[in-house]
Amino acid sequence: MDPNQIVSVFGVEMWLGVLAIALIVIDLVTGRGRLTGPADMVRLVAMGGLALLLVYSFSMSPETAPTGWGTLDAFALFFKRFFIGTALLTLLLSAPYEARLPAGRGEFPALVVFTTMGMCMLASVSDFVSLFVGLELVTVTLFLLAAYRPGLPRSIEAGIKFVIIGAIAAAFLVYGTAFVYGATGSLGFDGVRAALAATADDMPAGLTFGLLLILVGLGFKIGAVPFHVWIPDVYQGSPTPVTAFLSVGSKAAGVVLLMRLVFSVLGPVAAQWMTLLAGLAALTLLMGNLGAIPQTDLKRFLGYSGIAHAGFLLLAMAAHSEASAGAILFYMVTYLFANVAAFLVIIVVSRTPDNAHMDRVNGLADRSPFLALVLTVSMLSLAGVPPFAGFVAKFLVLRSAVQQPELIPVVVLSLVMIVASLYYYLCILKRMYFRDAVDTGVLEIPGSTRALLLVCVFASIALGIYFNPLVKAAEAGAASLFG
Amino acid sequence: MLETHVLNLLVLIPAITTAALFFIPAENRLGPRVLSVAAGGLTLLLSGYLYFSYDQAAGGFQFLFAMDWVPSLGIQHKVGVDGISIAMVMLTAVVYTAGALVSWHVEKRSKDFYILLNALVTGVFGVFVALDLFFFYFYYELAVVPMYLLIGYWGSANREYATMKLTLYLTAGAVVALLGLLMLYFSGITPEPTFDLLAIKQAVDAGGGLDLATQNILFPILLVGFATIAPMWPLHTWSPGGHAAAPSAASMMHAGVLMKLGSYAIIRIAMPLLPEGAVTWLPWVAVLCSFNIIYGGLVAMNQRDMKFVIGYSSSSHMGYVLLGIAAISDLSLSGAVFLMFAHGIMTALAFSLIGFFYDQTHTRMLDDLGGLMKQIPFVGICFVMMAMASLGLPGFANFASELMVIVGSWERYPIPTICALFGLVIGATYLLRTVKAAFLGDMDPKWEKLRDAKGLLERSPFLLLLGVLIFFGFAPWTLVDVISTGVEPLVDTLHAAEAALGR
Repeated sequence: MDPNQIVSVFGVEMWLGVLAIALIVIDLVTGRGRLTGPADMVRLVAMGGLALLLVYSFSMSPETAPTGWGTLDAFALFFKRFFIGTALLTLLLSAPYEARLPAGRGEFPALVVFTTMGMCMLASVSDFVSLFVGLELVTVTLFLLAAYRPGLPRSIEAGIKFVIIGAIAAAFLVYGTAFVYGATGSLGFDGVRAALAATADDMPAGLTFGLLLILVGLGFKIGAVPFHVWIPDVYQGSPTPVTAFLSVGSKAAGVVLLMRLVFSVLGPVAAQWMTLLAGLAALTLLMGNLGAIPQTDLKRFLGYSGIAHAGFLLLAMAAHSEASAGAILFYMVTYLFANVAAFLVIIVVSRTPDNAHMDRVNGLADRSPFLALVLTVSMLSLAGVPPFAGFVAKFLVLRSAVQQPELIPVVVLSLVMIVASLYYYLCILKRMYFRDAVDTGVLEIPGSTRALLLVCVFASIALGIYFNPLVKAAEAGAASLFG
Repeated sequence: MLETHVLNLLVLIPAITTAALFFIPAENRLGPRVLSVAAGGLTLLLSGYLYFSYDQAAGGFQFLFAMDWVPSLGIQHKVGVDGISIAMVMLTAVVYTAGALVSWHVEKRSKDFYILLNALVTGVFGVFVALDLFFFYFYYELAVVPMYLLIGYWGSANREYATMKLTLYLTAGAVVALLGLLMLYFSGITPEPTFDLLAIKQAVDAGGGLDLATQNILFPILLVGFATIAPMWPLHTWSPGGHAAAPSAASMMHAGVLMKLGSYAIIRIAMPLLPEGAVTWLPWVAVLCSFNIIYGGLVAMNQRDMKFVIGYSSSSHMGYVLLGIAAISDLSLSGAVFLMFAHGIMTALAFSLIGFFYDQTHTRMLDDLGGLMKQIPFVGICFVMMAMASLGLPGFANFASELMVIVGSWERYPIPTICALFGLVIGATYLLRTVKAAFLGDMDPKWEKLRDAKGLLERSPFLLLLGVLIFFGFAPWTLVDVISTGVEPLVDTLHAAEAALGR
């Protein structure tokens, strides 16, 4: 094995590791031994580094030649850019929140960068061992981030729940991997795929069982029903920037692995898995959408809404075509901008006590028309209303799913759920525009926050109208997955 | 230059106005109003240009403009109009201008009001000119959702319930239609899946249509989806409450234009692309639309709130449109499209007049009103003329169009046509009653301070709408000739399908 190969595939991850360690060193040197204090410097370096890496990742070209260590196809590159972008937005997002952190402001960006490193690794893995390593890197750092406010019992609770669920999911994954290895004698994706192709007609029960366990482990990550129960609690308890990171980054980490597994490894036996995925999609759509309706906490609400969106992603996976894989990539990007905007508004309106009750947005249209507009765009994009990006994303998923006649019942269910989801997203608009404010304090929106909000709104509108470039990028990524 | 881009401009003008309004400071009272009225006037000019430069002898779709949008998915930005769409574009431009003028007095967050109004109009124009199924749906949804805030924030009685019901109902209809459109897209009519309406239609006309069984599944899906907004009985329950709760300009757009999107979509997409399915299912529409006419009329007769009277009368009148569509003869279908135009103008006039005095009286209950004619003669006279138009008095466009529908439908559907005739009597009853209760008789002294519409600015929307009604009432052929160039090929297609099925 040639070390150059590792560098060529995992170059971004190495630089992320270097950046994270540099951040810790900078924090130690400039922090003057304190646990508190402004950490702007660390954050700025982190953002600068991530921005540079994002630019660098665009200079990389996909490599089709397989290596023993991992793959750097267009699909992996798409997600690496997505993860670095998500981390960058998360750090920007945490700026107005930072004053609420009692300690460890310097380590916060470092942990985010470490998580991103794990996520980027997951985009490239090609065997179950490095999959496990990358996933643990993501889970462990996220656990620290979820419990980042030791003063708040809820944050600790969120951290503990996350670590327990993470451990259970990892156990499923390792156990499943053991079965798969036992049945196929291979830990590499290619080997398993070849073994599946050879035994497609008569799959050994152990192999099916192992793959099912792996599916369960990843189901926890994306929040598929019935592995979703942790999501509302953890989303509610975590510090809001971390919730944003969890809702997009962590979910995308699960999505990237599931996609590799479903579209690539399971390729030869796809037809057998379609029913299972469609069933999961139906359950997830039902649970997420119906669960979101009675929520009164914004973060819990977005948790359930995230489960609902996972249902759409699963529906696209069940459709199992290049078109549906492209639709998922497109979906994730639109989901990123809509979610970041929503969480940023939550950070501003919940203010220091970190109260994310829905009545915080009551009368927002009078208090800050700008924030109300941003949240309106975000909600309508999540609901899939034109001219916002979420509409195109849902359209692409439905388009790819209608192509499979077997999926029509689930498509019909998803259409009903679109109407249900419009109801609860409109309820947020109702609070903002038709209700009187509960909190009448002045809302301060720092310049950087305003800029980030504008970026999200602009992206949500631009991708909803001129979506050809992103569709092309998503199609290229999806095509490389099918090789 | 203008000829290639006139339809793009028609969509872009309200879209740019929407965007531009964001940059006008909220304190600027005049800016949004002037800008929106100017935009409305421009679209009015453009629609006049369309009308006069449309080559009636050639017929078909003209002013075509196509641009690849997402080639890999078969999505194009493709626009074009035929005689049917020209009538609808003219209707939209008139109601848009009148709505922008009527909203002059909206004081609460007027900038946001105009932003939403313009966004809605963008969607409506888009639907009427789009020849790509993706963009058709895109604009269709775009026209529905701004209504949520328009009614919920600026509306009256029971607005939160009414607006949620309306938005969800119409979205539910829209997603059903979306399912139908996607199934049509993948049905294999064209070798490569495409959203291009004309390409699909060409393939259908060349004998490559779907088999009867598939058409019989697809047509009702599209019909239910689009008929929700039409609104066909029993899918109409969102509409009267929504009309009643909406502010004037929103009810005008809504009853005047938005409801026509449904019947337009049936004429534009469902019937030409699935002719055999249409022939099989349209008799059911004829049955259901009789319920529209009679049931809507009877309910309107029992309303005490004026907006509810007009709201239920709208679903009654849309029954005539659906009857004209179901009867598929040149006369009935042209009459249906003409009635869509006439009813749009008439109902916009009704809601703008009611809105005018409701702003002062804060009640629309017939029991509280009475004798208003003495105090507000101009509005009163306009209202009486509106009522005369609505009940089908000769000299108004409604008379000509309803007559065309009734005469054109008699041969094929005698019983629904008798219902339609009976509906005219019911209509006369509730309209005359409304006029009597609100405008005649003794006036309650508390209305002595009511102000009539004064000056050109306040009167112009009413005069514009009334003028259009009377002009096309006296010269119906000016519009009917254009409409029938669009209707005739469709009727031929449907008659051929009928002959092929041996009916």
